Amino acid sequence: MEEKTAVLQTEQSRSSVKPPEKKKRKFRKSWIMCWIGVAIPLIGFVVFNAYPIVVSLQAMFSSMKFGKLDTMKWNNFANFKMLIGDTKLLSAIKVTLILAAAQFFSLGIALMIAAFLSQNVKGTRIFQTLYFVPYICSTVAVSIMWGNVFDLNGVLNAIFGTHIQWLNNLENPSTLTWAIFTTIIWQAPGYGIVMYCSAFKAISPSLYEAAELDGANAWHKFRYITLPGVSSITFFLILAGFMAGLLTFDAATVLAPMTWDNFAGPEDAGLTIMYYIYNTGVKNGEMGYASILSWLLFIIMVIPSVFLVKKRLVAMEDN
Amino acid sequence: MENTEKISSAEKRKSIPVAKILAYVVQIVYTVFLFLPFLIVLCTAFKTDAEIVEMGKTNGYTLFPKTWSLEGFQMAMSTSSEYNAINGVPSLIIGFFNSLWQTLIPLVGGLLVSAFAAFMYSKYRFPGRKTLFMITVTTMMLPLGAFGFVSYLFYASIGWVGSKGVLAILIPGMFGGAGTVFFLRSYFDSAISNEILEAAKIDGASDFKIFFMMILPLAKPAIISQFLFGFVGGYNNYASALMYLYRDKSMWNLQLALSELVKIGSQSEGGYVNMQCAASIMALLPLVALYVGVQKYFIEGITIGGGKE
Repeated sequence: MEEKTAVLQTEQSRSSVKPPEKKKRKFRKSWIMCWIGVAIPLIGFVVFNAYPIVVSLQAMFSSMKFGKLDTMKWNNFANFKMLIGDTKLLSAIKVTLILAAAQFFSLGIALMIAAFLSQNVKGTRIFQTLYFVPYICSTVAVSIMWGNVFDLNGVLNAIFGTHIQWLNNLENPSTLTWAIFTTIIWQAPGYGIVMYCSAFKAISPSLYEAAELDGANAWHKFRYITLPGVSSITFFLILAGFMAGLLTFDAATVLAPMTWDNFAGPEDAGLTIMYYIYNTGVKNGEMGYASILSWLLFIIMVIPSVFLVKKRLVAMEDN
Repeated sequence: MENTEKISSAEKRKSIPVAKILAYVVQIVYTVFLFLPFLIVLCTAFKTDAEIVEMGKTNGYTLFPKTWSLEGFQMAMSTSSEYNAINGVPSLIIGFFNSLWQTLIPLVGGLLVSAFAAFMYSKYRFPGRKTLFMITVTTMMLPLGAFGFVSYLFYASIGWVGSKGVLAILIPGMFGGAGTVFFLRSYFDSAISNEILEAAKIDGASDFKIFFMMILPLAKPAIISQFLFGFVGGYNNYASALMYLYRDKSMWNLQLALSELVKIGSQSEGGYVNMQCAASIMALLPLVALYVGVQKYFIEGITIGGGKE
């Protein structure tokens, strides 16, 4: 009821003509269709997103058997106590941050490649088409591909003449993290390239012409016209990349399969936060602790996410 | 005025070669970086397992196979149940068709639902319209990805895991998505004029007829972009398949079948790297072919804001 009056009030303030008549807006049959139409996505959200989140909120404070809800019992913050001294979590955060940095790195590559694409040499269209291919490829297949490159009998060892197990390197476990890093860098820039290319087109050519008359060189034009011109896209891509980085899962699971004693590669070098949540909750059935980790991740992500969606909404409205 | 233009274009001509040559070099180097791994994997797929193992022992790596062999492809397409084949059908084939229907059903259903909701928001006035739309936008802002795995708890409690796990893949998507509703609504707002719809209404067309005969065709670019990115997402979906479909082999989608096949290879003595490579190439090919066919829509879709849900 409150909602209804609120809406009517805003409509009143807009059209000052005959407000009293509007208040008595007669019920129309078409409203039912409207309500049903717009309600379905919201119902889907409530049932399949909101409710599971509420369940996980409850799970944080409970212990249960085999993830069965009816065995849920209040356990006096036992799940939270597990957080203290959880070295696996610390290592997962470190790995995840490194992999999120791969997204920033990809963004730099995207900017550079798009800048060169905008030189409009012959074949630019073909290049742009090719550069987007990795982005649509399945991360599982791409990770297998890079797994082959980093394989003991793979091309990397052949090039360096070494005999190193890059993905299972006991002396230097971090080579596994860097293998995942490489996989992300190979796959991620495609999206940024397309975004930057279209953003470059929106910058007025007259700016460049004016700068040319003033004797600006290519770097100056890039630094003082192009970069500021695409700053809002850059902000959007940074946020999107950061979020995608925090959710890294597929590449890590394929390149660092879980061992029998619950290690994702030597010293958990391939364990990301999402991978840790999966392994704790789904595989080992400790949903309470997995819920805490999910909520932590949610809290880290919520502010960038709000900014990101706002940016995207504005961009869409502009179109 | 003409004079200055001439000067500037003359200057352009002078400065162009260096920049253009550099642009060529960078683009070619990047192309090599992107496609060299493909080439390596393709060549490895055609090697025999014996050759790969021998290569590793002697450090005598060669890119191209000494003998071209289909061993890897034959193993990836093995009809034996040791390689996860069911009733003599290779797991990659089952996975491919499972991926298709498990992607298309929620995608098409969800798109219709989202488009209809967007149509209501865009072209109808009804009480609660603004409030409900605000709620939709707010739900978009939540980083729900963080809860991907703990939702398992809810689906387990209603029994949508194990043999009924596919329901967790199919049903939620059919309710549409806030992002799609928002995107399509702003497209309808800007691209479809109210006058056409009013004209249709006067001619006696029903709301549903208008939706199917006018809105959907007129919003084709937006719908296609949503469809394509949804399709790519569904085809490449791994995480939720791993959660909900793992226990039922007959429901495995392509990515799950692929990763399990590779696991079998890597646990065996030789590693069967050729089989791993052959399997991933076969899994990639259909989508890459689709992309090459309709790449225009992908690029357009991203620039109008359709990508990355």
